[in-house]
Amino acid sequence: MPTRIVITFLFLSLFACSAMAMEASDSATSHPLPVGSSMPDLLLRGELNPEHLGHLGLKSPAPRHLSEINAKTVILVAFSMYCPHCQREAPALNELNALIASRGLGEDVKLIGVGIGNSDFEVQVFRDKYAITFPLFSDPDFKVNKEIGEVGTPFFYVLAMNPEKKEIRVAKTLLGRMESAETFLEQALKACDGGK
Amino acid sequence: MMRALLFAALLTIVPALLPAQETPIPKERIFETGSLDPLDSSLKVKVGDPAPDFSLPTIDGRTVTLAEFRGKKNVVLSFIPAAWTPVCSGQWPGYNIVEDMFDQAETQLVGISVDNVPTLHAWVQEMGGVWFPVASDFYPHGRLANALGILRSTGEAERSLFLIDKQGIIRYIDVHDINSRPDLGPLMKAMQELK
Repeated sequence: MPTRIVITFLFLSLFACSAMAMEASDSATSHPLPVGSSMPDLLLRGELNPEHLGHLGLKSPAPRHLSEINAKTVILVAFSMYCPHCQREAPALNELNALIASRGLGEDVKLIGVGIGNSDFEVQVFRDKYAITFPLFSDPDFKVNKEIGEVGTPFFYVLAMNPEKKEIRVAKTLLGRMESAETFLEQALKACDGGK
Repeated sequence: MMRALLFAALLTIVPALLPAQETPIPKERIFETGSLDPLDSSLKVKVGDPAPDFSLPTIDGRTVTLAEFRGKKNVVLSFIPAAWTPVCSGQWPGYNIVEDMFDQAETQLVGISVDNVPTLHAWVQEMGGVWFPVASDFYPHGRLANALGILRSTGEAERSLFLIDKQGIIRYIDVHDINSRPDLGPLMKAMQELK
């Protein structure tokens, strides 16, 4: 009898696991770019302050391409001001950015956000509400999102930048909130090192 | 044997208690509406007209009326076409983080759809709740939506925003393409201009 109870318990536990959905707003049409594939050289739009322009090594405030960012690794997080999971993830994103800096990785690893379907105004609301510390771009007409696979939000792309080969490689992806900023950064660094 | 099973049970339940990270929301749980005709109705009101009064049940068991805000607050009516659909589910949660902007503009937001109260209640709970009243224009079906001229031939309301001032006069209308979310910027600008 105890064996039966334990087996029943095991089954129930398995169901509990599969029923727990990740904290993300996904869409039925999403088709993320797979790990190992090339990321298009995205045109990034939006208003950046001089500090963020300098941080990314961008000279012009006009629309810029992803490849212009001066970094070995870019962590691109697709978010939306309207997505409750992204709202809850905002403090962890700031934590991730602080972690990158505190580990002395600020020159090599750059965190950016793209507000999927968000106007400049809506991106600014998100920036102000959560005192976002890293550069945010806007994507009001979903042009970026079409190029990155109409992903749900939040969605993380860890990108290995190779300016010599003019290639941007997808090293890691994650739909939904990070387990923790620290764990995610470890995994991101490992994914990029593993691709060298 | 028992020990092994108990150990296996522990290994299984511990991950279940942790936040899930690696399993996406199953796509079959998301209702895909496809692309709809952007508009399917004719407005019956215009900016400068008095807004029709209404009395609608809300998901917290109250009734919301336009008259209760007369002389006290401006009102934004946010109609969404249907609960449990992608664009609508991605609209109201955004308003959750701008309550202070509505307060500063002395404006009350009211969310409305033609779904019935239990459906709206379940959907809003699923989204984690909202700070503004959510009202049902279910019965007589879409009476307010019809009075405004935003009831589609299929029975849903258009995705639309109406800003009504403290005197009950409509000051801003955005009957939006049903397939996309209205930018918050123009609405906020209109609200701030009313102050």
